[in-house]
Amino acid sequence: MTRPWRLLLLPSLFLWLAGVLTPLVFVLRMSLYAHGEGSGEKHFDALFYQPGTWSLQSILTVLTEPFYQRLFAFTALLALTVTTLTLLCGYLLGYLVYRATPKRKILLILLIALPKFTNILVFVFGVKMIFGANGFFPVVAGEVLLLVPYAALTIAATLETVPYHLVEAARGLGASPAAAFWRVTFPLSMPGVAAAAILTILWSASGFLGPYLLGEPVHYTVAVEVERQVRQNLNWTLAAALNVVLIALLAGGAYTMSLLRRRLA
Amino acid sequence: MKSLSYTVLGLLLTPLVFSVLVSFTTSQYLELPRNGLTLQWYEQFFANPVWVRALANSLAIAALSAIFSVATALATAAALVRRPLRWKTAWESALLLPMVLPGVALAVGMLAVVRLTPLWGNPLSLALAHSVLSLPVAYLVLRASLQKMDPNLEAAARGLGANSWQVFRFVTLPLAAPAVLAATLFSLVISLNEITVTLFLATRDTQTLPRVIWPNLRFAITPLVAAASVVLLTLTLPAVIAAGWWLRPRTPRGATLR
Repeated sequence: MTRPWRLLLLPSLFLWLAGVLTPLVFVLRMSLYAHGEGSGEKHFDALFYQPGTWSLQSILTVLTEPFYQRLFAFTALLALTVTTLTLLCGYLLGYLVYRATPKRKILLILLIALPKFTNILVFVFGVKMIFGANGFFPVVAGEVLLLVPYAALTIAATLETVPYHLVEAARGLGASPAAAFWRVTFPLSMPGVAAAAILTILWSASGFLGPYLLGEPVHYTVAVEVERQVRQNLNWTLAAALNVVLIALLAGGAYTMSLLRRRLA
Repeated sequence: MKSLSYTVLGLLLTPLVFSVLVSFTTSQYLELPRNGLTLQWYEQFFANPVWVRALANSLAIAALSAIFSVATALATAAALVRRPLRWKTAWESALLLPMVLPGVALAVGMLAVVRLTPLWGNPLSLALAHSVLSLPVAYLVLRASLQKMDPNLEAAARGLGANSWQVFRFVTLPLAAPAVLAATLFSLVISLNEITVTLFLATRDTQTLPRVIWPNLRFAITPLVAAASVVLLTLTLPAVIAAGWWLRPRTPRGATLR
């Protein structure tokens, strides 16, 4: 009898191959097609790309055209702004949870997580109402509010592992409350901040709803451009090329950050 | 410092309160109610077949995707948690990949894949796509539960002559029941709220509620959108509170061998 329990891995293997790997391979392959020509009356798929061709045209367009360079630069700028603010706000909330009594802790966690379980469209719609007009500030605020629950809960979880008697010991040895925080609590919470930073930068750099719904076209990110190329311009090869470059940059960024994190630890 | 933290918490909750209030407004525009409250936007919601159809699609797709993702996550966790496997860490990271991949990248790829299959325009394609997205969460919840479980209980059942299936059915599954329920609820909520992949995969016949809200949110905004959002909220919120209740930390009652 060979290990029959391995059969249990078949469903997830199927879902992963069909739902993650194949789509990613298709995106990679599609970014290397010559892009489609002709009218909408033609063979349906020939409009979007030319099957069987190999071409670096779309990737080169993304890498060299000033419009796309600006798009990636803006996306990076937005991601960095959003990540900085998200970590600040997330730390404030995480610390609030850390210092709360056990009963209030549960309530606070529930309140922080609540927006994540309500519809994202309801939420963005509410943000839109608060700010009235679209612009850079609403986009940043919207993205920060969408991401801050994850950051806050990640940081709170790490703070929970910091024994409070260490802080008390520091205080007993004469440290001021601020000094005890900056020399004891804060350094020990860094792993949580680093984990939150990696997730936040990945999610804000591929953010789609905030910029699309709360911004003007100058605030659109790479992800918004992907949606517009696929659903409005029907230029699938360009959308795929944007995705390939985005994933490459994010993977490179995440790898660098995890190396940095290991060095800090 | 503390007041600053509460300001952030307040900001986090304001958008939600706003949209609930606006759904009862008597105005034709997105305004907070001033001259009394009305249910007219809810009446319009349920009188319009497009919205009702979308609600039905949302529920059916959410139910199917939750079944797929929880069954898959349970099988995977049952296979991986207590067994040494060379590729275990790699396999788990691969499973969690959809959490960090850009949603639009997966969506474009899925669109290209689904267009080549007979599933294009079938709600099944959306259910499968949503289960790919909820699988990581369901897996993390179930893995945590199985890891906390006392392995001696399963060993005892096996020692008393139970076969693998009986151990799973009469020992593991009952003990993991709260986590299974929680994973189901999380999967339902993820599917009911999903918009990025849905935007690419839904056709006219398979539009979900968020998909019908989408164009309204960008262009013609009436308080009907707020009402539709609140309908979605009333569907998901009880589910989440129930999940939180099941997952709350508590002391085990007679579930350990001493």
